[in-house]
Amino acid sequence: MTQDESKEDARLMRHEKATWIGTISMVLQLAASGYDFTSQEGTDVLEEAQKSLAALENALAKK
Amino acid sequence: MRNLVVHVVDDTRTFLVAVRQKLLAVNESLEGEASFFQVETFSSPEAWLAGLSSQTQEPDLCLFDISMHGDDEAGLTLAGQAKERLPLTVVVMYSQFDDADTILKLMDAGADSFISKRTPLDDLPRELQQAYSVALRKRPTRVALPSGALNHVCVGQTMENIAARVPGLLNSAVRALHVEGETGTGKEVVADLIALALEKASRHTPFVRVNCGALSATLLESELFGHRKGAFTGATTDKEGLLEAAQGGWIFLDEVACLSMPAQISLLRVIENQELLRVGDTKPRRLDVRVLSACNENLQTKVADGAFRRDLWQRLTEACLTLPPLRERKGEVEPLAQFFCRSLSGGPYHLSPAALELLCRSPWREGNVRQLRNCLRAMTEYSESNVLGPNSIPREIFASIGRAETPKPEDSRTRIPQLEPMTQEPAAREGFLMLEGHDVPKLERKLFAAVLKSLFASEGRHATWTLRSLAARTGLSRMTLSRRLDDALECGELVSSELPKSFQRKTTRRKQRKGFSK
Repeated sequence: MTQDESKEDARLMRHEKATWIGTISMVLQLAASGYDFTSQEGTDVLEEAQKSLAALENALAKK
Repeated sequence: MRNLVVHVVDDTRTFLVAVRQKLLAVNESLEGEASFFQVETFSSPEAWLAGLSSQTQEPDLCLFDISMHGDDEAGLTLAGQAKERLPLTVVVMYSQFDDADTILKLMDAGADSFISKRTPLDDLPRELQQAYSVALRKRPTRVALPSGALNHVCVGQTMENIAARVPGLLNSAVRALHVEGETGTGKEVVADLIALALEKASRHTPFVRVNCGALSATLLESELFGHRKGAFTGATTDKEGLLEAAQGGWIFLDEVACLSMPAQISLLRVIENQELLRVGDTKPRRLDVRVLSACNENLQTKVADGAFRRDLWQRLTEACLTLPPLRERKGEVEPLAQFFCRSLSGGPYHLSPAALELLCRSPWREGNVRQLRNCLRAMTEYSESNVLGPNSIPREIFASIGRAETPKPEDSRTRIPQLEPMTQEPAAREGFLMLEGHDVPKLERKLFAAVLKSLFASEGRHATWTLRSLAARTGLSRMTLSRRLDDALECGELVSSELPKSFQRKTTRRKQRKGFSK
């Protein structure tokens, strides 16, 4: 892998991590505001947050 | 209240849900049927572009994520497309990344503003409102863009009544409306209300504002009516006037009494015959413009003095609104003051009951609502906390209350008790204020001493008090507490032996430093 490619990879990873963290943070804020997660939409949101959390944990473990 | 149509485009469902929930929560907190944010969410740029044609109402504001579906610049491309298709819509970008390079890139792409995704969700509605108002103010356009659309002071029964009448007025056959009132009573708010109603009805109806007092007579004539090339020195091209720019809509002539006689004649022709003659032109042009005029003087008096044409006055006042001064609608001082306390920067602020009572008693002769706003702005500068007390009221307001109330000895309203006149005190020490006829500083010192005495009595004079703990208990800053303590001791409202022992030493040291003789 060239130096440019490795920089690009690092940049993409930063973007991804920021997005995952942002998603998790939003879900926490939604929960704090009393949002009802029992609807289909709520389930989808939780699923997205779980995926983000798993991806983030995975990325951190690799590091 | 006006709806703000917001379109949110983001590929992350959680963001769409969270933003929608937060904005709709603002609507729920409003009373009655008023609605504020009207939110539509889209999960991709394609979905938004496809949905745009089926929308009955164009969005006022678009909130776009920058990076979507693996494309780091999807939001930027979308911002460009949005600007092309919806030139009046405010485009706000929303991203995790708020570095200078990203923001510069966004602005180059045509975005009006940027909000970081790290902004707490609770702050998002306010950030959006702010981004929207700022973007509107920045626009160099003649199209009807209400100034401070979301912040205009439509508070109080008078303005609410006028706001309720505006739609009916716009739908009527009235072609000229004149608004009269002292400075600061809200003439421009009426203009804002009309501009808002027009914008709501059709985004393309022009509303052109002209301050007739801000331009010289010849320049105003050329600006209002336009001119032909060669009409005068410097007229190198044909120029469309502001009246023509308002074709099909409204023109707001503020300070209309400043119009010169020739301009009055030309304007009369526009209103009467609905045709306009550019300066230096020979062919009149058809013109369909409705006129809103405002003036802080009594136009009828100007007519009687011969300074304003009677026939023009008659036409301008086809419908007339007179805004009463704030002193004649005292019941509105409180809601207005509370409104400003919420909206002033650094706020929200809270008014103490005493401060509010004093504000309600002021006649506000020097600027009405504007003067009230300026007064509250000054109070926030003087105040050390977010609670605005009587101490922070500017001295001239106190003086005006005194002037307004002194000639009425029979007045039975609650007053600050009359104390013996001051003798050796300077007229106004820093932080203290004089109310005409009343020794407010002395009253303050008495109250301060009484509070301290009762505090020491209840907790024991031998308790280990420090300046910090006393400041915490009294809610004053240490600096203010120290200053007031010195002052009360100096004027004999407190004696040193009444203070806790730990405190006596400090106070003595402080007094010695200040050069007081013991």
